[in-house]
Amino acid sequence: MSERVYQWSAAIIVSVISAFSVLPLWYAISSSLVYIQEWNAKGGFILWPDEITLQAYQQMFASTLFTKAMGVTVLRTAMGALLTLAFTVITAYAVSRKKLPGRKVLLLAILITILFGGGLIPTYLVVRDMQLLDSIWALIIPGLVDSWSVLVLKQFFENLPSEVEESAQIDGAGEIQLMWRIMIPMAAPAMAAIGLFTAVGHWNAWFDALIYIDDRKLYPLQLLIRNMFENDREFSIMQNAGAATIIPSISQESLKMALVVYGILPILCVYPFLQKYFTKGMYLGAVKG
Amino acid sequence: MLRRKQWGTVGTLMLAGSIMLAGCSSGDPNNVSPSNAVSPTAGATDAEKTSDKKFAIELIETGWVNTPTDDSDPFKKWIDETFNVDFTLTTIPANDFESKLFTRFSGSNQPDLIFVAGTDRTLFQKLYNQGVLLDDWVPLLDKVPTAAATMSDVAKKYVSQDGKMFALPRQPDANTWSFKIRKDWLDKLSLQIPQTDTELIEVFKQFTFNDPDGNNQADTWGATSAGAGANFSSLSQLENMYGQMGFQVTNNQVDHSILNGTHQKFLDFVKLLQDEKIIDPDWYTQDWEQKKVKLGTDKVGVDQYPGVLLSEYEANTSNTGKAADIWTNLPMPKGTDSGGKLPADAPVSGMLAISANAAKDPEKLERVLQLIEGVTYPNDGYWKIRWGVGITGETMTDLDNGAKFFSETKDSSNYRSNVPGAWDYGTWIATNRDSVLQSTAKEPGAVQEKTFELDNETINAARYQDFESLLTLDPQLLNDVTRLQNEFDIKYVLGNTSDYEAFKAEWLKAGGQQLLDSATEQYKALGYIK
Repeated sequence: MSERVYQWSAAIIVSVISAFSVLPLWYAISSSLVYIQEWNAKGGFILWPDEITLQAYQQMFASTLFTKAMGVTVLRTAMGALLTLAFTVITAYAVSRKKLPGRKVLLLAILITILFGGGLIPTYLVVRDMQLLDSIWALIIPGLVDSWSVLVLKQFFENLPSEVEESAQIDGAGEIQLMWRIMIPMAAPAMAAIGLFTAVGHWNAWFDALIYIDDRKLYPLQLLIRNMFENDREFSIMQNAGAATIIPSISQESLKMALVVYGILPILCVYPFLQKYFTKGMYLGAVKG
Repeated sequence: MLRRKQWGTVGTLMLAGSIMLAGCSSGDPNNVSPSNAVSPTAGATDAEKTSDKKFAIELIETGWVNTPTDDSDPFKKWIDETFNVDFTLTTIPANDFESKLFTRFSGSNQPDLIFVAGTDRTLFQKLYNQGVLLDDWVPLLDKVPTAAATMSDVAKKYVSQDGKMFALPRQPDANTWSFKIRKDWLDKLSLQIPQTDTELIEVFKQFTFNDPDGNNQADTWGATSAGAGANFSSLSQLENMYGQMGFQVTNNQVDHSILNGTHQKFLDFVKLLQDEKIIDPDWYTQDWEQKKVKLGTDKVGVDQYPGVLLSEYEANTSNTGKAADIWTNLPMPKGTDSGGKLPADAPVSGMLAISANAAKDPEKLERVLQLIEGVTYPNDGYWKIRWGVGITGETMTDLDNGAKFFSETKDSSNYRSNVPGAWDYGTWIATNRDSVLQSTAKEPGAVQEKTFELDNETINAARYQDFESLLTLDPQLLNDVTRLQNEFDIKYVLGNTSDYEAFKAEWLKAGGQQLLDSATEQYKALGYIK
């Protein structure tokens, strides 16, 4: 009996917490689907629209502005995540080799970059001198090796059974073969987790684009969304974009919410497929018997 | 087999390296493109060849929209063709503007033109003191005669340091901000437009408790604001009922509204609104957009707004045309003998600076000045760039009262309807002295006539003399005392403190005294204090 009570209590509490977690997303979706009259009548608190309209989305796509920005974001996320993962894995594997000359110095250098940063202006000068300004590489290369991920993966590689390594070496595998055929497959869950975090970081990033990108055609989506939240006029103009009549119209908040939904939907679609790797990666580094 | 794998590895590395190198940008936006630099006219003189030279010019500003245009941008095309330049417009939201600008200047990637809207000179002063701006505009004023002609002595002083102008001031907008009141509610409740603070309180009470919209619901309030959790926003302008706000010269000495009783009387007024519950409960926490909704849905009877309130009300109420009959100006009520005026006009509405880098090349500087002159109101370029007349097919309708009507209701073939970022071409030159009435209605009507009438009333209303904008005060001290004031104000109004004398002492200690001393010296130098 007490077990059943416990199960029910746990289920209710978790359901309530889940509902609160989902509520902001639900609110964004609902608010993006209403007319201005309903928005005004309900004081902007929309949980279930009385009358659904896709006008906010139609007006958002009336120009190619956001589809192009989405393209830039997808490109930087895909390339950034893959390249970051590749370089992080290579670095982590190298510093996990105990026989690496200067290993301690390299580890210290990596640790220092976690604790201290160069600052905005010095980093900008380095990016400029590397001729990366106004290029999508300015959004990828500065963050190509994530020091924290290097240390996590290094630890992961060090914890792998040495017997597997030795048997591969006995079979004639070199370092690169050992890394590519043995270590990386065994580290797949950790790599998936790190890759996911990196991808989400790239997806949400906007400040680097603000600083390094002047060519507005290379603005990623999040920078555009942020700029638009900073400017109300955009919405009053967009409300009339392509509209032959004013009635009915949507509120500015509906347009903002439509943008929010557009910005998070792709990453939400990808997350469920990678969730199992994320979960496995969390506990695979734990001590086993 | 091993050899094939080695070649595969090498090939992969080479491919990766090629991709990385291909992504590196080598373009320097400040270089003249050789293909555009030479005139196709053979046998041209040196002077003609120089004038045919195309220059890359970049303007950086905080736009209204801050989203990109695309390759078919007709505004850029018009500017490029008319002035023989390669024009780039870079717009950054206000919160990021300083970071971006300082980064560009630190990285020697300076823009050519920088525009800052409003009256905050501190950014330009910082850059000027670093030596990265044009040293002095005065010798160049004859090349921008249209802008120079509208420059007052006060505006010139405002953008000067050590006798040199570090920026070109934009003509101040005609100040059309004033309080508006629901005339229909006054009529329904048989009330007159309030002339004093006491009468205003009574009107607020009636608006709140006596169902002025006749819907049998207690859903209206007298007043509102959009503090966004930071300050009193538009409500703070009611302080003008009791006297001039901020720094001023009275009886041959410097004074401040916090010290002379003006601010305290205002706080007592707002506290009364709060205690009597005749102000929108969200007045301090909501933002501008949330407040606008309440204005458009007949929830609030009084707010500070320019005449465009009528057009916005119309847009929210499906253009019924009734806005012209329901909103009217509320002249500033008097709370004291010295109160009841509107704040002084700002000396400028914006400032334009040229970077020292752009000014190094005399030919480029000449072209920059031609561009500025060409698009300054009321020259032809102004109408093209600001309103799209002649570029996107948009037109102006002249009204009998001297104003011009511009309809925002456009179909999707209009470039700016699809690419709203193009509106930002007008941000740096916009002035409401062009007498354009902008509306979502298709044709001008009673609402536009009433808007013009209300704005003209506001422009011609009695105002305090301008003192504060003439000062150059320590921005950190100003920031500190402003923060202190904002924190105290809301506590006072909510009843969490009542010790105004202690606040005054703290304000003086936090920097207020230093600011007063600095203001005294500056007013003496300007001759306001003898």
